[in-house]
Amino acid sequence: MDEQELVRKAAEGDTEAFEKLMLRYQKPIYNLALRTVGNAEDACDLAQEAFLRAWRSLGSVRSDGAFSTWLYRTTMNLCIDHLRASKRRKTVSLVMEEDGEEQTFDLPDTKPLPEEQVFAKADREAVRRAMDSLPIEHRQVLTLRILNDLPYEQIAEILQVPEGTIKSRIYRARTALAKKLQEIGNISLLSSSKKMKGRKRL
Amino acid sequence: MKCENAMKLLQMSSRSEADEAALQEHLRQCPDCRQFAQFLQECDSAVQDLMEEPPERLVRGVMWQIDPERMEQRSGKTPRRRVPFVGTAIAAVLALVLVGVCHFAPWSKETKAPMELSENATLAEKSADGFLTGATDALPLEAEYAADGAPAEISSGSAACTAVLTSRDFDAPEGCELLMQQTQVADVKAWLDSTIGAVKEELPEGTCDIALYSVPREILQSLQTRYDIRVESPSDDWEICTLAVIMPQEEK
Repeated sequence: MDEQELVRKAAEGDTEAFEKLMLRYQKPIYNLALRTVGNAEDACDLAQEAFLRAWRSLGSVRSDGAFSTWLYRTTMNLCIDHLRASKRRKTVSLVMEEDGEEQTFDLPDTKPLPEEQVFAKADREAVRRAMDSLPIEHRQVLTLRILNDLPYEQIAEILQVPEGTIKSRIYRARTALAKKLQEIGNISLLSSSKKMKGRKRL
Repeated sequence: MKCENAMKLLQMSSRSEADEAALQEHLRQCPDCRQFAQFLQECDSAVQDLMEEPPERLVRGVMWQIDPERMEQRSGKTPRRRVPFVGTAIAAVLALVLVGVCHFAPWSKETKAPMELSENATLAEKSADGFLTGATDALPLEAEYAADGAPAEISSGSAACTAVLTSRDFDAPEGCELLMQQTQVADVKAWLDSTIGAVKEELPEGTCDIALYSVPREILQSLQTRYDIRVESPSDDWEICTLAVIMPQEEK
């Protein structure tokens, strides 16, 4: 069944059709939330809230393109509201200042890792940390473009900024990510990103 | 092809066959652009590696909220009614306890520090007041809890959410909602005790123990999805849910 049909059925109250839509979008939506808010628990809650809002508003969402754009945008807005709210509320943070320097305490990951995966995991962890330390605008575009493979046009619609802005923002985000990785000490982008200096910006 | 065009093409989300061929030709000749292409590729593949599988509870939790009957059928559980806001049979008991809650000033000085304590304090008090909007029945034991004589202020318009959590196998009065396996209730209770701390525990007499918690919205939502509990609230306008956890009293 194509997406438009699923959206139409779901709008008529067909929960099975809506479940299919959720199964189709849960991964990109969850990952968008995860990369925006940075923790799995909140990301799952926010993705659920986005789907619940979609369920309630389906009557007003028509075509399939509009549905996914709407869903991404809603998720994005929920995540930003969440970040704002937690910034206001936060009284105990995992970031502590000591001698004027910020020290971050990461919660230990208690899951055991197979030994052969340790190196890959370390690199991935470095990328995750680099990514999470980028400004939200950069995380958004990298997630939407690279992780979720959305075209520029749709990203522009989701974020409601001109396509040209999206292109240059993605370029800046990639460069910023490379720089962060360089700081962290990940080698893989180091060689390529060194020569990025002096490159003309598009 | 000029380097500038090659860079533009490299960053496009899709390319025509002709553009692709011209680009590849340029890359063969230009080490700078090759380097740039490699940078983009490495960057993209690093980001793509971050893709994670969503937890199972994501879709399941939403389905429980929008179509509980279907989910019950799927899980093979006996169909049951949707959980009302507060089970009618125990509403009076809760009302009684909640009067107590108001007067015990739940987040006063000795409270075990919950997360984000300072802001929750105000919200919790508001929430408890708000609940009393509906708790107007005569309460035989009210005096015991309202010992300071202060009237139970009934504020109007204050948003509140209350919910009852009890176990399937607890022989509760009719109308009381049976939600979970007792072990799960105990599990949730233990978790709430360690993170939030109960406001008032254990009715002095009776057949059950009731523990009350002021649960922030996010925590309640995550509990709901984790345990497939459904709490219906008359409005969305609330921050703290007064959650009553009811357990059969242990034999002494």
